[in-house]
Amino acid sequence: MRPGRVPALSAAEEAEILVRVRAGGAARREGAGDLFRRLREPVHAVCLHVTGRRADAEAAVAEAFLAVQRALPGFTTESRVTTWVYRLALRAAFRARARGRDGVSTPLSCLSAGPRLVLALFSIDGLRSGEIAEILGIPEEEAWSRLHAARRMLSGTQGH
Amino acid sequence: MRPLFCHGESLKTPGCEAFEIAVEKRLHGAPLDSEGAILGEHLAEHLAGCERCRDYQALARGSEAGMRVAASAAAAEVDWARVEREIRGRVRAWPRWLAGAVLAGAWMALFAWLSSPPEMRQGRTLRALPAIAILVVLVGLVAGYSSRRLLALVDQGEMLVTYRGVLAANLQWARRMKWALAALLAFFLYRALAGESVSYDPLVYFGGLSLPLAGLWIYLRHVTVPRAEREARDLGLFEGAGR
Repeated sequence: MRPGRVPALSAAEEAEILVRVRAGGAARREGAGDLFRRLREPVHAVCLHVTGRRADAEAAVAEAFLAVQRALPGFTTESRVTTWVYRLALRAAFRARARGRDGVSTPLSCLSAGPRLVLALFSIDGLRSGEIAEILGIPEEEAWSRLHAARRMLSGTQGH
Repeated sequence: MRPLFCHGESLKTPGCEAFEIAVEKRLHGAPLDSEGAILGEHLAEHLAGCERCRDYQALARGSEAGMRVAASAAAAEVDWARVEREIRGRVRAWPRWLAGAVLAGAWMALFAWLSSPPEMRQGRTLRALPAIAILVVLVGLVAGYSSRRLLALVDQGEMLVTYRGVLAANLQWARRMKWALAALLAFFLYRALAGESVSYDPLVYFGGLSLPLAGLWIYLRHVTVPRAEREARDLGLFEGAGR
């Protein structure tokens, strides 16, 4: 882990948030609020790099956390909550990008979805390669290979 | 992924790709496996003599730094309290569903009423109400099932592969719905203009039912399908791209 890198949310913290959310009432609101405050910035960063537009990134974050808050009490899958949130956010980001009609001109915008996605995830402080592989649903070594391929593509678009 | 050792090179001479991946692992603070540790030992030596890998390292550092700066700047401008309030305000979906159901039911009942002769209005509208209620509940159940199914699919398999599959199915569904709606609309308009009945006014009844269908068709034609096609292009669905 890089110096100063802090995991956005540990497994124990996720479990504690789930308990509060399932308790209902004010505890549910507070738990969901905590989850939002802990993950909003890294999720926003990923959405920004995937959509290429600030407005779309914000819309994707709102859409993703809305789905999270609605479905969290019934969360039963084996993956971590953080992984699930990122996967929801990425789908929301792709949808938000498709909603926008104006052209996007960020360094990543000329790349296709796959490379953009990998570069976006690896640029997030606190996300380790194992977690990124879990989000993408691929083996960890494959995640490194994809990052390398994506960086090479980026290099090609920038004329290196 | 290319093999660690390039063709024609000795087993003790890894290719640039392997060193570039080692650069990425070091940049991201990832632990190195035994193979990676050997590469790590020789990385500085390799970088000193390989311009391609030095360029790669500079690009990796530069692009990541740029992305982080851009993300921090964008996040600093977001009014997070407002976003959180908006999310909280929309968490309960049922009031909107209920409003939509009441509106749809009222619309259908209105045209059952308006299309009937005055002496038959009350009886016909009352008889139509159960059918209207069943239709509205069915549409609500299908929509609710569809959104739950989408949430369940989020966590399955390789993300992009799963997502492309969902998107392809959605796109196909939207295109079929567009044609089905067009056919239904044409039938309703035909009945509105050519239909005859002593117990109701076909122009009002079928014309009234055609209006929301026409709105839905226009939305599918000009919003839903083009949006899904843009998303499919972005995800490489049309090219059949693997990654």
